[in-house]
Parts: sequence; C-alpha cells; structure tokens
Amino acid sequence: MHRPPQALIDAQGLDFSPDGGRTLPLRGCGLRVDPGESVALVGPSGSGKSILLRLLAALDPPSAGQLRFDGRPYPPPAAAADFRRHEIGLVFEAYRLLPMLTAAENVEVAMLDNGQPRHEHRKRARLLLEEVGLGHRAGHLPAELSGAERQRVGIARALANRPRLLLADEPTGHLDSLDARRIMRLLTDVHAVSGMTLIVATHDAQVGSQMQRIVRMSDGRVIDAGRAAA
Amino acid sequence: MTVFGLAVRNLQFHHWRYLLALVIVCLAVCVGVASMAIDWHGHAVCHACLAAAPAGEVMTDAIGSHLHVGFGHSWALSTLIALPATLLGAAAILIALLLSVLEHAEDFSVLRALGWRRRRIVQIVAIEAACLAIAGSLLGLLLGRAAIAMLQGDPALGATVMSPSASALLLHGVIMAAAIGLIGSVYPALRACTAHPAQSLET
Repeated sequence: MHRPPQALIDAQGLDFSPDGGRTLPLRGCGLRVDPGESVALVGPSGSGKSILLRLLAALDPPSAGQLRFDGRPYPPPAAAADFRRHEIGLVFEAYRLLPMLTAAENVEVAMLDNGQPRHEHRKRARLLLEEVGLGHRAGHLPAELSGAERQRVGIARALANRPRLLLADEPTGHLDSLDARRIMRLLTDVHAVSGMTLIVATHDAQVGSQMQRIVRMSDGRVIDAGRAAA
Repeated sequence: MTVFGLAVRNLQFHHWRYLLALVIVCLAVCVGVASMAIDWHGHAVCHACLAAAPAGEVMTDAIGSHLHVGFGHSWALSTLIALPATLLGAAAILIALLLSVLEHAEDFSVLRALGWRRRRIVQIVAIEAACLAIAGSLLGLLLGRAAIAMLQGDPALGATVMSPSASALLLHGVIMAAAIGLIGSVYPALRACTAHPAQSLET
C-alpha cells in the first residue's frame, strides 16, 4: 500500500492574534508541505502570508491550532531559538544584513553556536558566497553592495546551517524586475541542488509561478492549497 | 564571527559616540582617583583653625583631635566626589549603549530570528560596556596619577595632596570601573534582549 511521505510542515487550524484577540490575521489556517517541495504563498497584502511565515519560522507560537515539523510539534518559545538555528533558513524582504559586518561575517554570524569550529564557519561562509556569485565581494560591507548583492548575501546566510526549511518573505520586494528574476533563479537553483524545502511568500504571481505549488491565501486563510507539479 | 568580534565591530562602527563616552569615563575616574589624594582633613583644619583662634596654638592642639576622626572624614569627602563622577561615567556609557541598542533594534531581532539566544545578545552589550569601562578607567587612572603628581609639585597646593599607594589607586579604579560598567549596561542590555525575532519580518 502506498503511504504518503511524512509532511515536513503540517499545520492545522492555525489561529494567530498578535494583540490578545483584538485582530486575527490568521483564522483556522491549514497547510501541508512535503519534504523537498517548493511552495509559493500568494495573496494580497494583509492576506496573512507573512504571518503564516512567522509561525512556520517559529518566530511566534500560534494562538490555536496544531503545527508540526517533520512529525513533531513545534518547540515551545524557550527552545525556539535552537530550532530556528538548526532547521530554518530565513530570507528577508529588506535583506536585514548587519551594517557593521562584511558580507562574509554576515554569513558567519548565523553559524554561532552551531557546534562547529570558527575556521569551519569562515570556510563555509566563503564557499556559500562563491555559490551565490559573491566570492569577490566577501570583504565588503552591506553599504558597498547593491540590493541584489545584499539579497544574495542574505540567501547565503540563510543556507549557512544547512536548514531543512528555507523561508523567504517577499525576497524580490525591494528589487527591480531583472534582479528579481536573478534572485528567483538563484533560489530555485539552490532548491534544486540542495533538495531542501522552500516556501516563498509573495504578492507577485510571476514570482509564485516559479515554485512547484502555489498556495493562495486570503483573509488569513488558505483558499487554494494548489496542486503539486508532476 | 564571535560575540566578542561583533561587539568590537559595533564599537568601531559607532566610534565617535563611544569615544565621547570613553573620554567622559576617563575624566570621571580621573576626578575620582584624584579626590583620594587630597588631604581634606589638613586643608579643612587650617582654614577652620585659622578662623577660630591664633594659628600656632590651635594647629598644635587641634590637629591631634581632628586626625582622630580625619580618616573617616577624608573617605567621606572623597566618596562625595567619586560618587557623582561614577554616576556621570555610568550615564555616559548608558546613553552611548542605549543609542546603539535603539539604533540596532532590528539587527538584534534579526540575530534572534537567526537563532541567537537572548544571553548572546546580552553578552554583546555587556562586552561593549566592559570595553568602555575598563579602557576608560585605565586611562582615568593614568590621568589621575599624573594629576596627583602635578598637584604635588605645585608649591601652593602640594601640602594638601597626599601620595596614595598604587594598590589603593588601583582598587579605587577597579571599583569605579565595575560600578560604571554595571550601572551603565544593565538597562541597555535588557532593552536589547527584549528584541522580538518577528520584528525582523516587518518592513
């Protein structure tokens, strides 16, 4: 008998209220994502896709509902930092690089407390920057890099600890269309090579179309879970 | 990249702000250390006795009784000067660190989102405060020692300046540095570690 693979993300009936119940940006939201899948969360502004990403990244616990990662419940807030470091890679819309650190150091900073020696951190940071095409800019500060280059550093940083789940929140939101295409190509290449699960939140249907599955959201709910590409 | 490395980078990044704080800490410790060397008792007796009675008679009779309580007096007066100096140094560090923490609130939320524990964030602020307090206090000690030597060489003021031992000066400097660093860093560290990781996703 064929058994479906264990879902990497299994969310059921998620509610989330950041202000004690006055607003409810997520209402009974459910989502299943299999290992190795690439999924786009698509919806207009305020549809709840970034809030859902917050919960999937263990940045906040849901107010209600069940959220499981690889069959296990998400950790409580006290243990969430370790979980994020080991399992989650985050790519931000506004890059969020530390301005006082070079590109290489911005990648290294994600590897603190990952149990590896410092020389390994340095080596991996260089390797990742080479992979995203920024080996020659490793010693530059974020202020000396273009928007697309900063986002490449952000992607390298997200990959630093070899996460199983890569989450990107509007990764092309601050880029022009040409750079946006390049960044999306980089993300899809990374996904294809590493086999990690990729979830991208975007309001741009063009960006969403590059993922294997498009999940549509509206008013804090998943209205169309999409169909996985063959 | 280590926590120490990140703290040092932050100090370098805001070097003018931190340099100003360092100068204030240095001057505060200098004043605190120099206040130790002033012979408050002798100075006060001379003026009080001169005003009260013929100098020679009172000086010989009164000095003994004043010396009896003089040590406590000297420490009290030194502390009276060292305490506001310490608070001034702590305020300089607090303002410099707090400005940095408020400016980098997003960076702290990003670090938390990347999996940094709260104590690591506290460590960054504590290391910055320690660097400022230790460097400022060392410079303040040297400056204070130089000020004492200069005052002792002055013919008018020399008699009122004592020579505290090196260990007493060092102890004074260490106590001031610890107080300045602690008072100046607690609130900024608490502010920094309350950064919520979800803030990093807000645009």
